[in-house]
Amino acid sequence: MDSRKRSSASRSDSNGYPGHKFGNSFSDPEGYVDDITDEDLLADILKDKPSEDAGMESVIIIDNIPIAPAEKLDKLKSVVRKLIITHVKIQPDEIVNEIFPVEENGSNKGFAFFEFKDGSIAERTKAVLDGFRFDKQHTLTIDFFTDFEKYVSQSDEWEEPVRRVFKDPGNLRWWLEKEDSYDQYLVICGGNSGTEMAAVFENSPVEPLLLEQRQHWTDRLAMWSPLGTYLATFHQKGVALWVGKEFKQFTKFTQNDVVTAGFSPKERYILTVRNKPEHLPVDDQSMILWDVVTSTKLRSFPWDRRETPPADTVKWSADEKFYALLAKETINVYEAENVISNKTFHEIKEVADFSWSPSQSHLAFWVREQGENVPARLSLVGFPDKADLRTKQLFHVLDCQFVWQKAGEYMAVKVNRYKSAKKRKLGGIDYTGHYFNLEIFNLTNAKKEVPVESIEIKDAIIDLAWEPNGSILVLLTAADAVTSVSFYSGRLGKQFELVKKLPLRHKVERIAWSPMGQFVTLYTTSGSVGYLTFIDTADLTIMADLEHFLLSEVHWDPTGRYLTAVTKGNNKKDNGYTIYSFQGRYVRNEKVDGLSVFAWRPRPPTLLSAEKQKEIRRNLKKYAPEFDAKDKMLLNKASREVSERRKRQMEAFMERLERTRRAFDLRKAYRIELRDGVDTDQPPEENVDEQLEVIIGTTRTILE
Amino acid sequence: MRPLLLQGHERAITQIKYNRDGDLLFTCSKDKLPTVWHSQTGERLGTYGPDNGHNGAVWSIDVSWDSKKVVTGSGDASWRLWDCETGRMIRATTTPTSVRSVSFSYSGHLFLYATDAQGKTSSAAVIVKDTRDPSHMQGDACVLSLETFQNEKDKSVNKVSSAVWGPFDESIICGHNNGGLSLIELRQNDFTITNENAHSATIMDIQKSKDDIMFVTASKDTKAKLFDSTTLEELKTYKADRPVNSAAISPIKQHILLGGGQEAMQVTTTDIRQGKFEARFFHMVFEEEFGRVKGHFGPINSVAFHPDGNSFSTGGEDGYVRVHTLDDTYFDFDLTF
Repeated sequence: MDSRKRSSASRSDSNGYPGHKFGNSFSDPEGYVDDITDEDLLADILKDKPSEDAGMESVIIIDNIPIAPAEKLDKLKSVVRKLIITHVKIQPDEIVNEIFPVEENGSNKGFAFFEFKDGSIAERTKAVLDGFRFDKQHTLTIDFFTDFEKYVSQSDEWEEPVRRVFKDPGNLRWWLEKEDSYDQYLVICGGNSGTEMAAVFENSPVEPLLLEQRQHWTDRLAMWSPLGTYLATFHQKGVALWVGKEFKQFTKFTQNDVVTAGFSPKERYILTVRNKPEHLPVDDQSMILWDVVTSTKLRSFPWDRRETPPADTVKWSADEKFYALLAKETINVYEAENVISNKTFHEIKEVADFSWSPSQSHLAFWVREQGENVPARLSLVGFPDKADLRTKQLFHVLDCQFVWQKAGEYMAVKVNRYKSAKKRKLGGIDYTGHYFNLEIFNLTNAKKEVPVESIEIKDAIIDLAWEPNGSILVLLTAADAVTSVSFYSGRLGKQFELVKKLPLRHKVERIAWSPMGQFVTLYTTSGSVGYLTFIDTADLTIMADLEHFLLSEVHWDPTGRYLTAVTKGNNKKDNGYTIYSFQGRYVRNEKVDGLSVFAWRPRPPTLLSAEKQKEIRRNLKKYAPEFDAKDKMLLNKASREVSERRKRQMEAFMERLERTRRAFDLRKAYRIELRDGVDTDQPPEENVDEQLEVIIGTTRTILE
Repeated sequence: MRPLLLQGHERAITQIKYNRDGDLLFTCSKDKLPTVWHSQTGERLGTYGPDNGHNGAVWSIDVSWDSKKVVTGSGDASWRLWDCETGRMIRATTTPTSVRSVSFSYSGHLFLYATDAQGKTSSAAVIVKDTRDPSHMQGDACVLSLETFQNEKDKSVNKVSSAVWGPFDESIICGHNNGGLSLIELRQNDFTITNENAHSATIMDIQKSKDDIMFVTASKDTKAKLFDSTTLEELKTYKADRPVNSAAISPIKQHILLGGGQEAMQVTTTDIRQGKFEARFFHMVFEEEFGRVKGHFGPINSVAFHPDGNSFSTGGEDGYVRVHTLDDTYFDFDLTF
């Protein structure tokens, strides 16, 4: 800028107006045209020039205020003011300005403008008072003044939406078409946050094959969608989905400070979840439901508690047609197709907890006891006809937990019960004589009604799990400091009965079934030594009982052939994962510093019919040699590669060594001289005891 | 074969060394008595002291090639020269600070010792004495006395944490507190090569190959590395996931032996398996670990191969020395290529 000024001054000189001759005259010469704009000269000051809409964000419009005649207007004003001060919890001087527009006769117009000290108060006022019932006839609505323009400019005429160009995302199921279809897994690790590096590997034999690796791919965690199509990463601004062979971005969902997300079972919808911002009493954008395919926002759900809402707050029926939420002891079931209208499809009141069947549109829920006479109730309701499939009533119930078999054929309800209850003097109730009950709902016969069997368990139940595709229920129980595993089976339509109960050598806490059934792993993650017990349920034998130092997580691969034991956290020491075969045989271990996420990529259900699967299983012996040969070839190739690498290393090393050694040997004489003439390169002389026979003399004696 | 368990020291072992013939095993510990053992039988032959002995932890010990002289350096701020066979003290000299490392030269006539720094009064130094020269033995005279350099940035003294003679009687290899490595040439009377980034933490031990042309370093940064003795060029890296206190090169096979484990101060709070107190075998060229030997219930502070390569010893924070004889499976095994 200075140079511009100077150049204009020098130009005036050259034009023949020697201003300095007449002393300090600063006036422009005659005929001079100022060709420099204010922006050029004063840009640094002009940027602070007040603009018309500055401060607008702290103005709100309150609508639907009662209309009061002129004489009562002051009273109305003070009521509204007080309402804001008390409900929004602000000081009176934080209201900068208030305007109640009036009619010609002096009565107000039914709306008012309020200006606050800053925008955050305006936001809070909207959050608290929007929808506030002022009196019986008047419910306040509050809008930001900044939104006014938006509503005004809204065209009354419907415009046809612009057709979006279809972008081909490529083959979303590419990884299933790979010839050897090795399973893939995601690893996130490194840095202070543990999310510096994210990588996808293929669990190929010999060593894992790196498919994709990116720095700072995600800011928090990352997850696969339930069928494995999408990889979701979490960022400050929202969630991004990645697809295809190159892991290209498919879409993103914008929600600030998103912490977790949950997909619907068939991946059509995703719910993104954030923590409630401190200053909002209710965060009405806490959870947002999106359509994954069109990446449009469908609706949002509020949250008023401090803790993070669980990602499964919105629970889906297996066919994605219905979703349900439990709030204030009421289940609201909605239809996914009418998501925009938010209309409740069905409502069930006074519910303690609920769960959907993983395969059908069946919803199980339970209702607490009401006093001493109304029992607790377990119910199963079918949708869309809202039919009551089965209800069971129980007394003395503390808590219920639903455990579905993955195929949805059985549902076990773990009922925590008590023998007697006594009211404490100081309030609260003492429950004594705890025991457990299993209520098993059998849904195998679709036409008949649902039979329920009841099994009483005396010991404390630690964990229970169904065989994903069978009828074996595994139960971990503890009694007298001994953990036992029990197997219940109801095969062939018979009643459920205890098949076997095995006491275990170690304390274990968790059950992990192979996704293909038959094999189950019991494990513990508490304490520095984790245990892994591999059990074959066909003959109920323990195949392997391993110690795994520092175990944090256990994951079966989708085919049920491998199990990974993950070590993470623990001050980033010894982090990594170990892959075992389903029999508990060690396969390999990978060390990963600062590991934070390990996740197998899920597979969609098989497309083969049950008969076809059976046929394959029957002819397994025929196919096996082919695969064995292939595996062997790969192993040979790998060992050949290793040996070639080693050969190269050895040659390079030996060549170097020889050079150095030759230089050394040149000075051998010096070495001998240093050690007083002893060649210590030769092995030291052994002291050997020699036996010498010396004949001193001979005498001859004749024996008689 | 069951290892020999040498129980004699009352405190943590600091260093162990075989003589050239391999019949004797010299050990020193944080108790005050350096000890010599019969390596075959584990018989305790004697101690250096307590008459005229050290009065503090003994950090380092070395024996001359002809097994005639033994030198020890101690936390009592002295070094002592002993007659190996009789255990009689030949010479003792006090130093301004603790002696961390002692080593005999190739000829056995010279020996070096490295001292700690203490505040601003005395800086860490490497000093070489000639045992044949009375003025060296009785007075302050010496072949070389070199203060170890200061770090320009934080002015901390990078004291020598471990030092050995290079090939011949011409050079000294120093491992420093900050993980740096340097070479002193006696003729130059100064550091001639420095490798600041050899390791990222204290170098705990340096041991040469049998022919002196390579040496292996052990560091708190959980790595051991192989270097060229004359150029200090890094040749190989062996990654242990715990601090390495000592490393040795097999005299007959291309194997490296590492000893270490989680630091003693953290041990009580952790499970013994988490500490990884095993002696670990690595292939020298392929840098792959192929075997572990359990035994100690604290970190291993020093490891040594028998000169014939058929056995090795480990000395631990637990105060025990274990002499292991390598069996046939060890000799039958090798990484194929």
